[in-house]
Amino acid sequence: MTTLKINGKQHTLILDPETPLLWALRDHLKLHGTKYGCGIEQCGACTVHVNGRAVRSCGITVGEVADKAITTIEGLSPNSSHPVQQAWTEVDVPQCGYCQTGMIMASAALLERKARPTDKDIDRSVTNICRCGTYNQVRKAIHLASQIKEGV
Amino acid sequence: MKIFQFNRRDFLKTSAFAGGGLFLGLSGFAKLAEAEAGKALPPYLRIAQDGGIHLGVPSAEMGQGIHTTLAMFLAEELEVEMSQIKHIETLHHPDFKHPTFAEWTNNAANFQITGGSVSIRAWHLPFRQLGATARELLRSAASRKWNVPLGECMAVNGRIEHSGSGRSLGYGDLVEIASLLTPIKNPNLKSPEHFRLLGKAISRLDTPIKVNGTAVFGTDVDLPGMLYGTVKHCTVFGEKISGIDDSKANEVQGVIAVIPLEDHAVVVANSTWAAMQGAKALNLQTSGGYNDLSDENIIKQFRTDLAKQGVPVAHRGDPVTFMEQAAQVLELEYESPLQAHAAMEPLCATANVTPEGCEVWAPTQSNDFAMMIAMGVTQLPPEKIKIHTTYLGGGFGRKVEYDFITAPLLASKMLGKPVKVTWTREEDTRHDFYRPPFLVKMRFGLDAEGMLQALSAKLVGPAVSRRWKMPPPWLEENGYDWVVTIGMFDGYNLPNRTPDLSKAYSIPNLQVDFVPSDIQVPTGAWRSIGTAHNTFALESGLDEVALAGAQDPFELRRKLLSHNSKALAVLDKAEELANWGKHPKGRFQGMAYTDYLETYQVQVVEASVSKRGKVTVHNITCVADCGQVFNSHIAKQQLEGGIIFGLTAALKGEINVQNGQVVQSNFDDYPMLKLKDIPEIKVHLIENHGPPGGLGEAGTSLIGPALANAVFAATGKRLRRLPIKSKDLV
Repeated sequence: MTTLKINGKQHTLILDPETPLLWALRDHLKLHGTKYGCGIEQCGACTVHVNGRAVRSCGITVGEVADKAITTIEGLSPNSSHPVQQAWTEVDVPQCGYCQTGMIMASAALLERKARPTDKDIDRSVTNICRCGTYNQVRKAIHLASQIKEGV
Repeated sequence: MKIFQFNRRDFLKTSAFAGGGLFLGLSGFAKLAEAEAGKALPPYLRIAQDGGIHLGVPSAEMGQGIHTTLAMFLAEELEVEMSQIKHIETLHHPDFKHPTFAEWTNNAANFQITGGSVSIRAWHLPFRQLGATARELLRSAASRKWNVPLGECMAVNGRIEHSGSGRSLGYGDLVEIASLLTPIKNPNLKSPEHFRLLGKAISRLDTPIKVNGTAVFGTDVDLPGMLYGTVKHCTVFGEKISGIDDSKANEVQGVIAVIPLEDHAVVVANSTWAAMQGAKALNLQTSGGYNDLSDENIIKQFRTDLAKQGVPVAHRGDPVTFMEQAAQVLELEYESPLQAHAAMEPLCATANVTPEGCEVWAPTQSNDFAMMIAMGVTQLPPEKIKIHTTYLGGGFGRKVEYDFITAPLLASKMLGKPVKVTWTREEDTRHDFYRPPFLVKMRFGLDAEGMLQALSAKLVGPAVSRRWKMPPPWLEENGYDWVVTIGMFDGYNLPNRTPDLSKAYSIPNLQVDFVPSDIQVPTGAWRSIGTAHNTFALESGLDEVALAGAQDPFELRRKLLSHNSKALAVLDKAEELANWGKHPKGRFQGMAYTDYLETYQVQVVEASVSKRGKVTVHNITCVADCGQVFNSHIAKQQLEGGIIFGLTAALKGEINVQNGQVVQSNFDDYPMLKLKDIPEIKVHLIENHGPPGGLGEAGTSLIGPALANAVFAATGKRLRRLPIKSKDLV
């Protein structure tokens, strides 16, 4: 039995503690905003926050996050009001959209660490893969989110 | 949101439907559309009593923004804001057979499909006509209700206003009367100068749900009592399962069943993770297989087949005689390797098969192909099968196939429960229908002034459409295959099967042949199809011709395209915007031109190459004339996205085959470009109110040769095979 604290709520699951967090979120808790893309922490489609830091949920087990605060895209904000989601909407970033929730989670964690990230900071911190090629709009949206967050 | 299914083929009159509202029939509209546009493929629309608009569309949304653009056509003519579109979905319907594919095959290909960069071309007019038809019905309804002349009833922003009295009614208040009226034929369409929406950068309707994580992709389908599965294929191409040892798989907690099929097994469990663990533990015994298959053997076969006589693709003048007299002959060979699609969403599908019926939920580019496979597996008639198209987490041609729909159908049929089957990334990478490898040999003949006078080209590679059994003239018995010949003087005017060379390079003596050389690696449609290998060869080759003839690459193309005003305008604009010839020190430029499905385009790359052979792309300028642009934001997304897709194939990995199997398996050994690799990309669209060209694939094939030409400018090294490898540049 594992208890997970997700988006501010406690969930008790009967699960092998070796189960990756990704699959606990998707199949057991039906939080489908977190996506499976590679299973080997390469693509970032499954990015969530664990104690405020961006983590690829395919590479961490439920046992490892049992006592930690987990945030998924569903818990990032009510009504897409998080500055990153506002900026994403304003720039109209998504194409197919499959990688976008992971991109948003990675970007939100970056802004928590660094309010005004440089292009280099973005390159280093947001290493998610997008096959539709939204990258330049992602970068634009992160800078805009930084301004929104700072109240500029 | 309730989904309305429409089964009646002939639904001429509008009628009040369950739940109320104005329901426009499809076939009725078909007849209207036929008179107007010669097309017989209309869409579907419901205006609810609250004024909300519910729209069913033929095309799958895979990132290309088609849901938004189709809604814009309707909203423009219906005089509503985009915010009134409450629901839009891909609907599977017999009336949605794709008119362009029918046109290309003299009406032999008759299916609903999303692909080929032709959704806008096929559907823009029918959706505008649908909007206009509904608008006229609502005006008539108001005119009757108020008993005033029709001419005094104006459609404005979702309401009908009466000019004389100032009265107005929302569309929702008029649908009951409107639904009793007969639609008029040939409603007036707006002229472009009156467009409120079309041509503008309108926000996508799917952005809100893609930003909050609620968009339902194929992987996100969830049904009560659903089981989860994954697949494990035989690793060697051509292998079949001869036996199975599932003892270890069955030990994995949660595994429910292991179902062996011909060349793959399905593992079903109570979670995807358990299924994946089970598949890992599964031991497949196999027989047969093309164990000798390798990159080396494939290219060896192509080189042998180069000697064979090909199937004629295009011919003009007398290239044989000219080559004998030419002042200079350049003999060049260009190679393109296999590439995987690697859509971010791995293949997946869900099925619920019961004795009474079958439902499938799939991220498919062709719900008709999904229907075909569902009928085959269940033996049910089509009226008992329902295909739901989810959002696609990328398609790029891979999800036009239906191989990923078999496993959930069979598993659900056997287990009596809904089953969702999700492939691992490894299975997705190793069991693709890959971009076909190709060898393109060209001989260019130049006269004493250095001008290009002759080209003979031979394309050697697999005829990928053979597996699809596409009807002629797309695919002919002799092996001609439009999917792989496109891009080498092969027009899009398929019905005549005589390439339209009127817009192409005016090389007076021309011979293009295709030698089908089939391989045992499954190949298919990969964003940009044949232009991937043909444009790389031709545009790199022309760069070599320009150099041999001491001409500027822009100048050479201007001479060869002097008869094509759109091409000339694109060339001029690109040269100006890219500051051609004025690049900063240490950076070098390369350019390439193409026309693809009536989109004329130039890309210019500015790149540098380090001493260690590392290529850095600094910026890309793309200028395109794609006819009328309907959503400038989405059009630019498509070109920029296409460029990044092609740039990844030019700079990153390739798919290799050794010992009959694919070497790569995941993003660690088949890497993709990431944010840090992406240059500044400027996209400029030439204003044009002409018929729309294709955009979904247009950006992809041009970037490879433009970059290779820039690398040549930087290093003097000619890249005749992509992707670029640093070791070749030192």
